[in-house]
Amino acid sequence: MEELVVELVGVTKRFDRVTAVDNVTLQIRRGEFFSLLGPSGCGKTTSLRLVAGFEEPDQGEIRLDGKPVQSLPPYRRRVNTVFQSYALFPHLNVYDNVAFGLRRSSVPEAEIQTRVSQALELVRLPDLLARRTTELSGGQQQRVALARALVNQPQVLLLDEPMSALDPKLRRDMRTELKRLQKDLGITFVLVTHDQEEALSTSDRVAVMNAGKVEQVDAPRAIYERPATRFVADFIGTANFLPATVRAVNNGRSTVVLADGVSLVAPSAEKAPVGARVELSVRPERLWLTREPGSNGSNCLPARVVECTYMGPVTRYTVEVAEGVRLTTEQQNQDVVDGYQAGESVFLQWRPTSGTLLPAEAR
Amino acid sequence: MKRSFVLLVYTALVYLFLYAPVLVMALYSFNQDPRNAVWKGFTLQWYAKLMQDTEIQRALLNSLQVGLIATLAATVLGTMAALALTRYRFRMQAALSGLVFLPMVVPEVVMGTSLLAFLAAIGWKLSLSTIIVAHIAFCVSYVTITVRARLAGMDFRLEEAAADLGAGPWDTFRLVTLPRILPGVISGALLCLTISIDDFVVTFFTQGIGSGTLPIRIYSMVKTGITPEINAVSTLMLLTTFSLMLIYGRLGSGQEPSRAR
Ligand SMILES: Nc1ncnc2c1ncn2[C@@H]1O[C@H](COP(=O)(O)OP(=O)(O)OP(=O)(O)O)[C@@H](O)[C@H]1O
Ligand SMILES: [Mg+2]
Repeated sequence: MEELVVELVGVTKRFDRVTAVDNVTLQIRRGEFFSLLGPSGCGKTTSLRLVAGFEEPDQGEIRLDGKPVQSLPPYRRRVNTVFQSYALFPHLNVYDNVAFGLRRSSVPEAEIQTRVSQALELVRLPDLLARRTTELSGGQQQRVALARALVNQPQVLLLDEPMSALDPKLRRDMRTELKRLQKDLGITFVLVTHDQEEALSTSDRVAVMNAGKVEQVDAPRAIYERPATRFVADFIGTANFLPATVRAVNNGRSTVVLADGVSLVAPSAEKAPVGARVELSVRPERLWLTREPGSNGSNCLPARVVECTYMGPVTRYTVEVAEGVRLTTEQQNQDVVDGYQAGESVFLQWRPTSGTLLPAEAR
Repeated sequence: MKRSFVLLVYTALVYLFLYAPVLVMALYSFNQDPRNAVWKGFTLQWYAKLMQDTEIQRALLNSLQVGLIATLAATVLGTMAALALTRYRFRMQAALSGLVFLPMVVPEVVMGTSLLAFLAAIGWKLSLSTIIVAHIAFCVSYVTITVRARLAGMDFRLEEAAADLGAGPWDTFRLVTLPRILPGVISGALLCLTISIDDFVVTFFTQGIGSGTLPIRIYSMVKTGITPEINAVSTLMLLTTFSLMLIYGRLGSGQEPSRAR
């Protein structure tokens, strides 16, 4: 069994009326790159602040390195935070900012010097030791914030949307940089973000949060390929949903029927037993359109093209399979002549393995 | 063209009205005429005489003692009050926040009489220490207000960042909060010192025998006629107050530029 560095066990945190974090249980392993992903206001920052010690849970337990830490103030927890606004000390220069944590734990000044310059080298910050932090660019400030936290060699590094203030190009570079740092140092990173690409591309595991609850914790690929809930399927990438009922479960394959009686096949899911009302979710890029019905074991639905949008390399089609049930799909424009027109009758096909059965949500 | 001329004359007159008495007073402190009626030539003798006036010296010493102790105490208390009002949430916070302004709007006579009544009620004999206590009481608000303004503009995440990096509450205050609010603290202290040194009314009510401050001493000297010596003391007081306000003004404008990002 892997060692757990951070554990949240049934943690709840309420502010006046909102429940920011609602009975959350999370286990973060040593040395992994873990992301908390979710829409604005879902409680990501609050979860991070609970771990750092800036908030106290109303219920539940938080453990660092196996030990409960509710009674420990932030300055006694071996975690460091990179704040969204960086929170660099404006009255100190770069060197003193980075050295701040080491000085608090009475490291000898000579060692501080070497460790500070090592940390700044690590984040690839050219010699700016004597600069005021107010005189740095956004990207440079971010690197100083990173160095200031990493220099203390924390057990866990918490990052709250560290890249949200950077422009897109810089953000992509920093993403790679973060990943490299995490690998090289072997420190556990917990990254908060609402950018799915950021979470998927950097992390070993991702926790998707919604309204204070954790919807799914999984590897990026699993999050995308096998979303556990409709929310996850919808929030990560785009997804099509077909309401259906499970008719049979057989050897890992489930047969479901749509309202109009058409039956489709999809991989079985634990939460979709026989008789359950489900939603069959399929990603747009897994669908293809044909003029003839297929016969090779793929799912096939007659459909009508409602809208087509030419977008250069791909064309996006919106098709209607039943009254009010619309799906979108993107087709590579490999063949110049082969395009479908709005109003045309087509067949929509996908492999049974491309679908995911999700429990229908009560609405 | 014409309008700007009128404006110029008007402005000049306003300033004349404001500063002429002060200038005349300062000028006549160098007058040789002991009755101070007409200009009889330049002299520094009144300043020299001041140096030998033991009454004045005692009053000056009292003033300095009151001013420095009251400022020190009020600065510490006021800063703590400002921290409490901005950093913690508690019941009746809004009401207490508003009450901070009270000593600034209560008429000084009312403040003086109420303090006198209070001191009598608790049986505290009037002396230098009662003046000090009274001065602390009305100075605290000024510090609280200037420091609170500084704290309101300060990113509280800086304090969290310090705690995150292992700084306990005292280190966080010493290394992060205090440097950020220092201009406000110093402004507040200078304001206290100025007000304390100038104060007459509250001091008048709370003084004991022999504990009169400089303004009190000047007032009692005036009763027997205005001498050039009074002009000299007043000029010196004016210079002190002016310099304090000048420093205060410099601190206010010399704030560091806010962060670009
Ligand atoms: N100090 C606070 N007082 C009151 N409500 C708060 C406080 N902090 C957070 N909340 C509320 O708790 C909920 C979760 O907030 P949180 O900051 O954790 O969200 P988030 O996922 O980080 O969102 P974002 O992506 O916008 O940063 C929100 O509804 C927010 O309004
Ligand atoms: Mg947040």
